[in-house]
Amino acid sequence: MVGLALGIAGAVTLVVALGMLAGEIVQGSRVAGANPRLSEPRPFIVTEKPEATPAKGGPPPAAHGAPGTTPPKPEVAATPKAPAPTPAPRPAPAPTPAPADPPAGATVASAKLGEETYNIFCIACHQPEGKGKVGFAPYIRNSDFLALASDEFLRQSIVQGRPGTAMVPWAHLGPVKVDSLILYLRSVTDPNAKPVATIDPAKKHPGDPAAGQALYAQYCAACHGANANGYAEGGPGPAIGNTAFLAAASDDFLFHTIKHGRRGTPMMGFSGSAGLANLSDAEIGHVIAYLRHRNGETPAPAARQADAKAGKMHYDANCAACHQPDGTGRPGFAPSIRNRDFLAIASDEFIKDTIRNGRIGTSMVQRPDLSDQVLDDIIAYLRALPVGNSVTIKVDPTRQLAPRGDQAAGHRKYDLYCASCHGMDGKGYVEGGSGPGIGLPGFLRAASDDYIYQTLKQGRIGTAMRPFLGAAGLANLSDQDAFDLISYLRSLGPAP
Amino acid sequence: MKRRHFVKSGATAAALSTAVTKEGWAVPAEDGIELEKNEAPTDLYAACPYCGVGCGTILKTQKGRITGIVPDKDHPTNKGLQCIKGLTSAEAIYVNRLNKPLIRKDMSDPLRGHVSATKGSYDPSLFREATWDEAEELIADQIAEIVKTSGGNAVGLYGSGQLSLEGQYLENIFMKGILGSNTIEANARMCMTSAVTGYFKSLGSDTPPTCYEDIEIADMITFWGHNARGAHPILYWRVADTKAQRNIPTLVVDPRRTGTVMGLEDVNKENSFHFPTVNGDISIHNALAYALLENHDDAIAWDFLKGHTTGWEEYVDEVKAGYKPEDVEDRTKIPAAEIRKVARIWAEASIRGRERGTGGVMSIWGIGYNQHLHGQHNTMSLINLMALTGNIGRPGCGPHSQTGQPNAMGERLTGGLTGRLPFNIGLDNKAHRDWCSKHWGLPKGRLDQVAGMQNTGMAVGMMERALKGDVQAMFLIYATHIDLPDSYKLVRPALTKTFTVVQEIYKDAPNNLYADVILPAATWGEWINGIYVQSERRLYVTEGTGNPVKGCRPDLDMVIDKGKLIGERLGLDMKKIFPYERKEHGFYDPEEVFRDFLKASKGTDADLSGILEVEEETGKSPYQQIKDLRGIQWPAPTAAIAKAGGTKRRYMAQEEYWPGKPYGEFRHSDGKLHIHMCHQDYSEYREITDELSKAGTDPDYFVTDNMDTLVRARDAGLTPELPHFDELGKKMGDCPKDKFPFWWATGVVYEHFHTAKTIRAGTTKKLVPEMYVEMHPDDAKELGVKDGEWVKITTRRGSVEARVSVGLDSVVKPARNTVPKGFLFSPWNLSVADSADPKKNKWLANGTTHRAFDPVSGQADFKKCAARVEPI
Repeated sequence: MVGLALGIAGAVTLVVALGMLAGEIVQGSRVAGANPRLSEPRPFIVTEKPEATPAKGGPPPAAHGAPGTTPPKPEVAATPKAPAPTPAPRPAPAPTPAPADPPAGATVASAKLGEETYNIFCIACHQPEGKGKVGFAPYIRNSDFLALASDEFLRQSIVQGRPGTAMVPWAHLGPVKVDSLILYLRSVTDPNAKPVATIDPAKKHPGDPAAGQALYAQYCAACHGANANGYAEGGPGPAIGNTAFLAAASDDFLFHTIKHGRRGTPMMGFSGSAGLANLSDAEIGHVIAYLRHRNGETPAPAARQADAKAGKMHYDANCAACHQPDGTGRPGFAPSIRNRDFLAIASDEFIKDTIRNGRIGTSMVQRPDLSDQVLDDIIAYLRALPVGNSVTIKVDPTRQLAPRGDQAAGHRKYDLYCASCHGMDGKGYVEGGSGPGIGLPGFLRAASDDYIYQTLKQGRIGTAMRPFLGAAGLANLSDQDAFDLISYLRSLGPAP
Repeated sequence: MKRRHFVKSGATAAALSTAVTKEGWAVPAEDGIELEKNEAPTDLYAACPYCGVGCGTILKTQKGRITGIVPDKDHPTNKGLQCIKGLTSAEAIYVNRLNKPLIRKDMSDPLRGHVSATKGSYDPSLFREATWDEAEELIADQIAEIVKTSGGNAVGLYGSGQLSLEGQYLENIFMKGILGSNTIEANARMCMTSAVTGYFKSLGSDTPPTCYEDIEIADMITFWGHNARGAHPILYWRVADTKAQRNIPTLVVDPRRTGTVMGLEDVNKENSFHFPTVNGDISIHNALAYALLENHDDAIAWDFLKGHTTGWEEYVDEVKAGYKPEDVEDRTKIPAAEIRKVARIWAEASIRGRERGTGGVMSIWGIGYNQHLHGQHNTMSLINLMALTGNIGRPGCGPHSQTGQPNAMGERLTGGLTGRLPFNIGLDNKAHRDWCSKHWGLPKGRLDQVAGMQNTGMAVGMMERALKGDVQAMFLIYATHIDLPDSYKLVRPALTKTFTVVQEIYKDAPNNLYADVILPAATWGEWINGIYVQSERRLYVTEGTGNPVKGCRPDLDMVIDKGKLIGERLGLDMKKIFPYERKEHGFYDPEEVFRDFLKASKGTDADLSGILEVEEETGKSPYQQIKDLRGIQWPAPTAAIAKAGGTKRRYMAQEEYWPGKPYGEFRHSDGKLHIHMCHQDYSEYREITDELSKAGTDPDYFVTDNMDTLVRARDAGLTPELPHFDELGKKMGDCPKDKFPFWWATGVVYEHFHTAKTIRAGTTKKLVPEMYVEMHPDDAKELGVKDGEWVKITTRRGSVEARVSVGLDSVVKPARNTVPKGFLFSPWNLSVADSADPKKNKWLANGTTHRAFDPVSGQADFKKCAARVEPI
């Protein structure tokens, strides 16, 4: 496969370019039109179908200008923006649109394709080989789990996700990739696997929810949370009260899971003398009845002040896998979000916008399900992390700097000073760059001109992003250089 | 002496109820238990209060009360898993709690020859409530007088492997430094000291050289006298998981087919071996050694033996001369062919490990293995076998003792035992006495005096001395007397005579039956913090609410207060010895004590002073360092090692760079592993056990007056009793009253830990609610008893009632193990689950057991008594 010949970065780009995500990235013609230097078709584009057929999912996003045209420069001061202190919450963006059909050669599901897909999209949370991470993502390539989980259960889990958790819907992967993932998961070889039960999806296990509530509190709550919200409550067990999970899981699936457990995880069996506790079949039925009865209900907590300690728990559950347990990120993989300069420049609104809307085109998935309280807590946690000497940077989100720059000049300067880390197309890590995707629409929509300017000026201490302005900078750029760069970046995506 | 200000107890009249409820105990949590405050921090990080695995756990609180437990997914020991006991440990905290000091109206007063007539009862009418001041003054008066009249050694203390390290450290200073007593013991004596003394003899120091990570590297894992599935479930599940993943062979040496045996067979029957021996461990080691020497020369680590050990030549000679597997079947109880088969597997695993540089055979043992009157020899002969096959000194192999209690290793490390000082050095070491004296602020020569004092027989000996009037006062600190053998003939009569002070949490704790003064203690989860050290030398924190039941105090605070009070009466400058003051929150700061402990460890083989270096360098407190790293394994002699989490493995230069390391490859002064041959010889079995049967039956027979018999029994690798096997087969009731046909073993059951908390926690009590006896179906048939029927198990010393549990389909929970013919097993955990009141208590396991102990380790043999089955 050509993509593989380009190595991982190329493969990632290949998949991205195959229209897995927002349409605007893959419109090769548009990119070619906006960037004369890149008009030569790159090898992987040759195999791509020029006109994408939108598959299931939402409508394709509005194109930013017709293909091949340069998007208009943003208006200057026509409608001055209101000051940003407490803006109205941004509406969630349109659902991620379906991708283009896979190119010729990838219309048949295979475990190999599943492995490749897994290693791009699933691995960040579910870890290499599906081993999972306790309290963070379940062990899905687990033979006990796979023995009980039907293909339909797996499909539903992947396609619909678990709204309310970090497991977002992955419908946009398309049926071939989803089936491939299932094949990959099932291709695990476990010589000691013993099939413990055959699930009968129609079989019911009735019980008394009141009795189940008491049993749940005694035996399940410690790991799965008092509200059955799993990892979000800080425990090692997943959210078995999640409505999407319960919609996918049959009674019999739940019954045998509780009875036999998942070898290789802290979920022991709960039946018989070999179990963590000896529950009778009837008692297991009560627990199932209770889970179904509560139907995902969690008492809405009273609004309270942002709490850094709670924020750490949410951070650990949702962010740490990529951004690392201490927020320092990993070069080429996830930015440092506890970075002193980043936090000095990024407003709370910028951070919330980023978490809610994600960065389409990267592993930073969108999390519109996280409440304001949770986001406030996470931000409180990040801002409470100790820094050396602190800085104060005033960012004026109303400052319009792009109009003062020359886009073409900015493009040249981008290629000269920025592309080697942030990628020729500004897509950052997915292009194999060590710096994040500053040309991504999601970022550009959230970051004001002054955000970008101040970043160029300040850099990010302790990372490879040095300051770039002035004699102390990596490249001694002038303000005009900065305006040109901002102007060029704005041509890659929408403004805030 | 005016008392300094302490936390006011406030109006307690409304909340307090000293009247025993209708049921007498196990009242539900809504029995008016009041806490000091109604707020406390939540998400507290602590080592589990139960077994010695040391799972990381997170306490959740609401309104100042502990409401739940979450297993810590980031703790390397358990990674988010916990057993049913730990998960439900919050249920036992606010139940049935004492909250006022109580003084027995009719106290025992040994100095005036008065023995209380009311001991053996905790009826509230026999006590009067007192203030803390009054109770502490009374205790101080009595103790000071006894010390002045009879000497410090007339005061004894029985401490605990569940006490925090800080508390243990100060109790030892209190006894040895302040009172001048060598009569300090702890329940570690009934649990671990065979391993301790075995390690000392073989390796030079009480240090398990291995770590839990070796489980996932080992090529073969063996369990000796260890039902890990019951006693250390998380460790067992780690072994089962690694067996499932890597298909390694395992061996379990245990009379029963336990959950451990069957669970491993479930993973892979082909490479799971079981030696159902009774008492034959030493012969099995030697027979394996024989088979290895004979047929697997390439598995013998000759270079290691020659270069790094002493005594190996005699060992090899004696093994060859006496332990051919075919010749010792009478002792091993295992067919020679099985021994040879396992020897081959052992050889393969050893060679594989040696060639790879990691891996080999890891041998794990538990409390059952230690609880033999030849327990020290058990440890030594196992280490001999490991040394013979080079299974020591690299990752993935080695001898690994599992501690029973969450902080028994703290007891060992702080030296709170007869003849011990902290940091693995004995009281007989003059230089170390001076070192400790200096750190403890003691007057010159005080410890030298104590070094000359005897407490022959250690824990059992302490009780026998009390019977003789030689020990006149006894402290029971976080340790129940019912964990000692021979309750009716030895322990209870002893505690009846002594002036007994107990620190307890439950109203109907059995200790209260014999207490002259009861002090209400805060329990795990309620104190501010304290260190627990688990089996792989990992120190961890036990954060708590700092909000105990109103009126209770942490044990640490009690030892400081009593030390100051009594020390002053004895003319000591207590500002030097206990320079601690209560803080704003009303308690002493355990971290201050911990720092002193760390400081004093410098230069020893348990040097943890690196933690203090890190604090100086970074400002991070010791508790914070330990919490953030999820534990630090001792030693940590430098800042670099402390930052890395301590020392994973010991000996053979597996430690990190340690300038001034006080030993070579092993802790003996010659830097070598010392091999000492251990024997098993049954030729005088009946004669020796006949004499030992006088213990607990003949009131004039004291085991401590007959230590030479114990030595003979130990040297021959015997048991305290020998059943009358000829009487097997008779119908229940037909066996003569002086015959005892069955082996009778006591141990633990998975759902319970010790005897106090899990029987009061609703969930675990429901899972295993009553005393039972595991019996072989053929025995049941011959006796004429049915599964589920209640019977009486009688030994020479006492009896228990228990429900017969036959096989894995028994109606009696948990039905997890099976026993061989002629062998009975009961858990001791249900000892007072029916009632601690002696008038009602029928399940007291240690009323039946034998007080014979290992003459060096002091550990009693709870596993091999002789019993008869009788109708009730």
